[in-house]
Amino acid sequence: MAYHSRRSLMPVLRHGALLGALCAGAACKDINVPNTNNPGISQLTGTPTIASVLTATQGVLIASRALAGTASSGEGILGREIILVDAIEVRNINSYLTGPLDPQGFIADFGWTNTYRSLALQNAILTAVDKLKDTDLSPTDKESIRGFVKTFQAADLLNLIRIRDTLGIAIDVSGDARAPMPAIVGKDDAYARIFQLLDQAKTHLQAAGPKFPFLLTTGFTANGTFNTPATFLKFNRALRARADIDRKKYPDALTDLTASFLDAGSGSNLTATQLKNGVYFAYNTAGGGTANPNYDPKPTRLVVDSFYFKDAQLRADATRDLRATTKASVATSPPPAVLGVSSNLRSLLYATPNDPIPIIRNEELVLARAEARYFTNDKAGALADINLIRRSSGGLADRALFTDDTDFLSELIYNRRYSLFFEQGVRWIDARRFGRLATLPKYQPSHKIFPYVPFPADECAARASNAPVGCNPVPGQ
Amino acid sequence: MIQHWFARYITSDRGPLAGRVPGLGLLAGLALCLGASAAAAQTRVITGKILETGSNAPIPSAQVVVKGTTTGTLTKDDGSFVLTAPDRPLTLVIRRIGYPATERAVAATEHDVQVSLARDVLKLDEIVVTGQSTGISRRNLSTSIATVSADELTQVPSPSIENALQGKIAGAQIQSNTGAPGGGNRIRLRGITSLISAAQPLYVIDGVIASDAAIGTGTNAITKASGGVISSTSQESPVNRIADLNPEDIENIEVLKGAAASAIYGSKASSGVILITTKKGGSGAPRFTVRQGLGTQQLSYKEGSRHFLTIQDAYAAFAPSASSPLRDSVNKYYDPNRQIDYEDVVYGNKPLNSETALTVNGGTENTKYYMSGLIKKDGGIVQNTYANKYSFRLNLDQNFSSRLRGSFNTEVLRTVSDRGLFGNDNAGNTIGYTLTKTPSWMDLRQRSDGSFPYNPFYKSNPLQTVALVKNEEGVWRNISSGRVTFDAWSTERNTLQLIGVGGADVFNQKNSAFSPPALQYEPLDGYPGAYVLSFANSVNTNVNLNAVHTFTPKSGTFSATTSIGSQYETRYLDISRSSSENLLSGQPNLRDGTFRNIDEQQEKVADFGLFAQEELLVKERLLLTLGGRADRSSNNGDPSKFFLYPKASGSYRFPKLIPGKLEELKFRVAYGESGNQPAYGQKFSLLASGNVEGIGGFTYNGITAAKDIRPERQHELEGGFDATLFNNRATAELTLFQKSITDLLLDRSLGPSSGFSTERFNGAAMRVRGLEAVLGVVPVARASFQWNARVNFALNRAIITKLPVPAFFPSTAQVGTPYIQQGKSPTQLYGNDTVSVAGKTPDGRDSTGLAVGQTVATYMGDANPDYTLGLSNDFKYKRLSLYVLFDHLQGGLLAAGTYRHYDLGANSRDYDVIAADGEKLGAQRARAYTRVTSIYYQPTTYTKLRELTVGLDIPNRWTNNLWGRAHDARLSFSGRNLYTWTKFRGGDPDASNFGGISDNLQRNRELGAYPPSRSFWLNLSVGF
Repeated sequence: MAYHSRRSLMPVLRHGALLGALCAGAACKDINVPNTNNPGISQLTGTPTIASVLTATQGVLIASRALAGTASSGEGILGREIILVDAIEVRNINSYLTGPLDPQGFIADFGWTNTYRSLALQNAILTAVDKLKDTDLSPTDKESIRGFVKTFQAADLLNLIRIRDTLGIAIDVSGDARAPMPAIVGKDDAYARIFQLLDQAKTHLQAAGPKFPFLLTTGFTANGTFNTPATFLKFNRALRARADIDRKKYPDALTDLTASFLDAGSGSNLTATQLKNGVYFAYNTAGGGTANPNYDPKPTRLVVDSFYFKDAQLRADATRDLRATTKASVATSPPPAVLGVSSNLRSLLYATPNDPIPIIRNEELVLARAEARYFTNDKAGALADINLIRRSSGGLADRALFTDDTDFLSELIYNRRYSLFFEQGVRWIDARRFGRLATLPKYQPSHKIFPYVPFPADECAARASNAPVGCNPVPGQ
Repeated sequence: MIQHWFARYITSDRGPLAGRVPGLGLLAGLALCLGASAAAAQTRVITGKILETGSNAPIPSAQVVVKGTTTGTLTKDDGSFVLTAPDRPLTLVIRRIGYPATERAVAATEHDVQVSLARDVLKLDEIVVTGQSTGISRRNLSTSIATVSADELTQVPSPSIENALQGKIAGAQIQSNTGAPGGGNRIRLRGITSLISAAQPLYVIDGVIASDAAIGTGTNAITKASGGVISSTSQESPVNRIADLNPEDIENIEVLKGAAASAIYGSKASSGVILITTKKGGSGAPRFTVRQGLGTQQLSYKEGSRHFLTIQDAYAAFAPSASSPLRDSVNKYYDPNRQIDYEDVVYGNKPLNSETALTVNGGTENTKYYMSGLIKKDGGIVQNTYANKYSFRLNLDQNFSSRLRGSFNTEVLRTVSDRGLFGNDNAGNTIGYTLTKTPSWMDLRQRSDGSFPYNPFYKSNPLQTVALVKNEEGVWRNISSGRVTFDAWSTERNTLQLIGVGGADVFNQKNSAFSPPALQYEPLDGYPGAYVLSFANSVNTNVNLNAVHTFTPKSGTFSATTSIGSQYETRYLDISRSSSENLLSGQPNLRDGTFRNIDEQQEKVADFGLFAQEELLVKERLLLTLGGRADRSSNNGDPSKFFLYPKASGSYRFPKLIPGKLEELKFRVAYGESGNQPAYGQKFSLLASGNVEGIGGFTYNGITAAKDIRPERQHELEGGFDATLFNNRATAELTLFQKSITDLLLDRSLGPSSGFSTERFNGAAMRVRGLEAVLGVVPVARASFQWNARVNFALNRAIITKLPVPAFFPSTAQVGTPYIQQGKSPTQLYGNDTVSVAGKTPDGRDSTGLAVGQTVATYMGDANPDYTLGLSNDFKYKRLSLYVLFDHLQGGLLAAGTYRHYDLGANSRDYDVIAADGEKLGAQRARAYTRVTSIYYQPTTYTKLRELTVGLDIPNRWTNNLWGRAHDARLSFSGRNLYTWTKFRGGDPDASNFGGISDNLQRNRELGAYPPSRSFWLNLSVGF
C-alpha cells in the first residue's frame, strides 16, 4: 500500500477506534437492573432478616383476612343471610342462588386461592424463623412467632374445610410451584390437622416470652386483650372449641371453652362489651389500607335476606328481637330488583369502612357452651346459656325447658342465626351440620341451596389427571 | 493497516465481541475486503434537469449520484442540478421517492443532461430498508416488507397513525380500544406472536426507538372495574402513545412483519417493527404548504333499546312484586308514550373538528431544513370529550464537509384530551354501560334549572356523568434524533461509511380524573367525590453505531455491502398515582379528600446489542443477505447473556421474461429469528407489601418466576415471488410464511394449593402459518384519466405445538375464554354450554361422567379472523380525483358485552320478542347465558368503507389570481369509517376494549366502550 493512501486512512482509523471504544464501553456496562416495585421473595425464603420475618408475620393478618370478607358475604349468601342485588354483576344472583356452582364459574374460588397463599406465607415464616440465629431473635420470641403463625394456619384451614366440607381440602402447602400437588384429604384428616396445629401452637405460646416481638392490630385489643402470648392462647382455645363443636366433640369443647376467653358474666345479663369481647380482623383505609369489603352504606347492592325481620321472635312489647333491629333496617332507597330478586332490608353491620369483622367472639362461645352442655347431658346448663343470650343480646324473655332435641336445635340455630348474623356464615354451616339445608328460603322456584362449594378451575386443571370430587359442579338441592 | 487493526479489534480478547458472539470472526474477514485506494482525479461540471414524464413538471429534491461513488447532489425547485464529477464517462443514478431509480449514462464529453422520470405508482423501485443503515431497491428485496407512503397515510385525517394504516397492509390487523377522540389501538402483524408477553410492534422513528406505552388514566378508582386499585390499564382504554405523532411529517412507513425481515432488531422485534421516516428538507427557497381541514363526526352504530309497552313490563324489570322497593318509582315515571333515544341524546354531539397543518422546507446545498406545525382539534360525539394535538418539528441536514454529514430531527408534541368515563364498570357509572340499563321511558335529561333528575333505576344518570366527570390527559413529548455520517473512505470500488445515530424520546403524561360529589353515584360508596392524579415520566434513549462498507469490483458484476454495529438502549418509565375520595368541598385537589391512596410503578430496562450483516448483490439479479444480531437485556434472568438472532435471505430476479406480459419475476426466500423480551419485572418472584392500621406486612402475591427467564424466540421462514406484469402496469406479490415461536413465556396457572397461582416461565411453542397476497394494477393510465387499484389479502393460522403444562383457561368459561391447548389454536374460544347427551360435550367430545343438563366448557370458535382483505381504488380524471378504501374482515369471534348488558338490564330492543317456548327472548338469553356462553359471542365479519376522498386540484391560474405565489391548491372532501356492513350486534366489531395488558389473549371483548363514529372532512391545501 502506498504511503499517501495510508495517510488518507488515518481518519478512518481514528473513527474506528472511537466506534470500538463506544461499543466496548456500552457492552461492559452493567445492565443488571433491580426490581424497585416490590420486595423480593428471597428476603423471606433465601437468607431472611429479623425485620423481614417480623414484617411477614404481621402480613399474616392481611393474608388471613383475605378470606374474612368472602366468608361473611359469600357464606352469608349461601346461607341466605344477605344477598348481593347487583345489576352490574348479576352473577351474584344467578351464580350464587341458581347455580350450579361450577369450578369454571363465578364463585368457585371462594377464598381458596387467598387462603393457600396465606398458608404458604405461614410455612415460609416458620422455616425462616428456624434459620434466624438465637442471638438475633431470642428463642422465646421465636416460640411466640410459631405459636401465633400456627394458630392462624389452623384458623385458615378451619375456614376452608367449613366451605368445602365433605369435598375435602389440601392441608400440606409446599410453597414450591414445581412440587407435586398436595393430596386432597377428607374432613377427618383436615380437622385432625387443625387440632394438631392448635395444640402445637399452644405449646409454643406457653414457651414464649411475655410479649410478641411484632405489632398487632386493634383487632386484638379493642374488644378484650389478646396481644400477648398468654392472652392470645385464649383465642387459640376458642378456635379449638369451634372446631370441637363442628366435630361434635362436646366434652373436648367444654375443656377448650374453659381455657378460652369465655365470659358468662356474673349477673343476669351480659353487657354489650362482654358479648363483643373477642378477636377481630381490622380494616383501615388510611395510608393505603383496605376497606371492609362488606361496607355498603347506601346500599348499592348488599341487602339483607327479606325474611330476616319476619323470622325474628317478638319481645314482650311485641317489638322484634333486638338482634334483628340492631343489625338491619328498612332501606330508604334499596337497589332495584335484579333477575327478579330484591329486598328492602339493609345491613347495619359494618357501618364504616374501618369496622372490623369478628374472627371469634364471646357470644359464639356462650352459645357453643350451650350446645356442648346440652349434648353432654347438662340440659339445664344449656338452657341457662341460651337464655343468657336471649336476654342479653335479643332482649327476649326466657324460654322454658327444651321438649326434645329438635326443640333445642331449633332454639340453638335461631340464636346463632341472630347473634352471629353476617359474621362467619353460621346460618349456612348450622343448616348443613344439622341437616336443615331444606329450611333455607328460595326466592324463586329455580333457586337452589348448595351444601358446599367446589374447587376453583385452576386447582382442577392442575389435578386433571386425577380429578377430585371437588371438581364436579355442585347442582344444589 | 486498517484490515489489520479491525481484525485485531474484533478478535482481540479486549474487544466486546470476542468469544461471546460466535461467527463474528468470519464477518470480520468479510468486513475487511478493503483493497483499492482513492486516486486523485480531474473533475468536470455536469448540469442538468430532472422532469416528470408526461407532465414535464420539474422534480425537486431528487438525488443525483455518480454511480459507484458518493458524489451527488439534490435537484432544486425547478428540477435543475449542478454536479462536480470525475472527468470520464460515467453513469448518473437519479433517485426520488415515488419514482423509479433511474440510470443515465453520461459520456465524457457530455455536460448537460435531461432525464425524465415516470411516476412509480406501483412502487417498483422504492428503496426499502434491509438493515440498521442499509436499504435496497424493492426490485431486489428478498423479504416481504409493506410500505405506506405519505400520500397513502394522509388520505383522510385520522386520530392516530394506526387508524391511517387500517386496511392498507396485508397481514396487519388493527383493532381499536375505544372510539374516543385521541386514538388507542392494538396492532397484530401476521397473527398472534406471543401469549402473555409484549404484543405490540416496535416503533423506530428516524433510527430512534420510540415509546408506544399505553398508560392508564386512573379512572379505575372511579369505575372500580378492576377492584380497588387506582388504575387498571387494560380497563381504561388508554391511548397508546404512538398516537402523538403528526402523520403529516411522515415520509413513509415500512412494516417489517416477521422475524425474516426484522431479525436485525433482535430481541424486541417479534411482534414486528414499524419504521417511520420523517420528511427531509430540500434545497432552494422556502416552500410552504398549508392545509386547513374542517370536519365533524357522527355515531356509526346504534344498538337501540326496548320499548316497554306496558307498565307490567316495567314492573317485571324493576319491581317484580307489589312490595318491591321500586314499585312507586315505576308508577311515578312510567309513560308508555315516552321513548327517549338515549343513544341520540348521549352520542349525538356534533363537534367541529379542525386540522391546521403548515410545512416549510428549503435550504442550500449544504443546509436543508424541513419544519412543520400542526394544530389538530377533534371533538367527540359525546359532549365534553375532545382530543387536541399540537406539534412542531424541525428536521435539519447539514453537510460539514464533503465527507461529514449530520442531521438533527426534533419534534415537540403536546396532546390534551378528555375521553369521558367509559368501559367496564363495577360502580354503575360508566356512560356506555349505564345506557344499557336506562329505560327509554325514564326522562333523565337536564332540567331547565341545570339540575339532573335522580335515576332510581340505576346508580347513575349518564347525562349527569357526561356533564360533570372530567377525565383529562395531557402529554408533553420530545422525540429527537441526531445522525452523523462520515464517508471514511470513498473510491470507485470501495466506500466505507461510519454512521452514528443517537436519540431520545422523552415524555411526561399527566392524567387527572375528577368525579365531583354532586354525581348521583358518588355518595354510594360512602366517599362522595373522587379525584385521581397520575404522572408518568418516560425516557427512552438509544445510541447506535454502524460501519457500512460497500465493495464493487472493477467488472461491476456484484456489489457487497458489509455492515456492523452496536446499539445501547435504555427505557425508563415511572408512573405515580394518587387518589383522594370524600372530597369535602368538592374541589379537584388531593388535599380536599379524606380517603387517600397512592401507588407507583417503575420500569427500568437496559439493552445492548451487536449486529453484523453482509449483502451481496450480483448483476442486479441475485441478492444474498447473511446477518445477525446478538442482544442482551436486563429483563432476562441472566442479564449478561447474549442471545443470537441470525438471518439469511436470497432473491433472484428474472428481468424481461415475456415482454409485454410478464416483465419481471423475482423469487425470494428468507429466514430470520427474533426475540420478544420478558417484560420488566417478570423475572422477579415477589412479595406484596400491605398495611393494616399502619402496621406493615409482607404477603405472598401468588406469582413466581423461573430463574432462567429469557426472550421468546421466533423463527420465521418466508418465501414468495413478486411479478411485474403487462408493461409495468401490474404487480403481484405472493408471500407464504411460517413462524415457529419457541420459548414462549407462559403464565402457568398453578393449583392454588401449591401456595402460588401462576408461574412465569419459558416453555411453550406455537406455529403460525400464513399467506399474503398483494396485487397492484393500473387499469387505465391515460394523460387525462388514471386508475390505480390495489388489493391486499392475508390469512394466518396458529397452533400451539408444545405446551409443557396442562391445557388451561386464561379466564373463565362462563364469560368465554381462550383455551390454551396443545395442537389447537391459541385464539380458540371456549364458553359454557349445556350437556344434552350424557358423556358427550356439546361440541361432540367424549367425556365420561358428564350428565345431561350439566354445563361444560365447549368450543365456540376462533377469535382470529379467517382472512382480511383490503381494496383501494384511486381514480384521477383531469383535476378530479376519487379515492376509496374498503376493509373487509371475515370470521373471528368477539364477546358482545354491550348487547349482553342490554339484555341483563331487561332493556334490549328485541327483549319482548316471544321465543319458541313462550318466554321473552331477552329474558331467555339473560337467564341462559351463564350456561350457554356463546349466546353473546358473535362473528366479527365486517366490511368497512374505511376511507373515501374526493379531491379537486385547483388550477394555478385561479390561485394566482388571488395570490401570485399560491400554487398547487387542492380541495378535498373525505371521510373515515363512513359505513360498516356487519351482523355483529352491540358495538364495533373491530373493538378490543381490554387493550393494554396481556392483549394477546384479551382482544376478544367488546364492552361499553366509547362508541365508534364516522368522520367527515373538508380540506383545502395550498402551496406558496
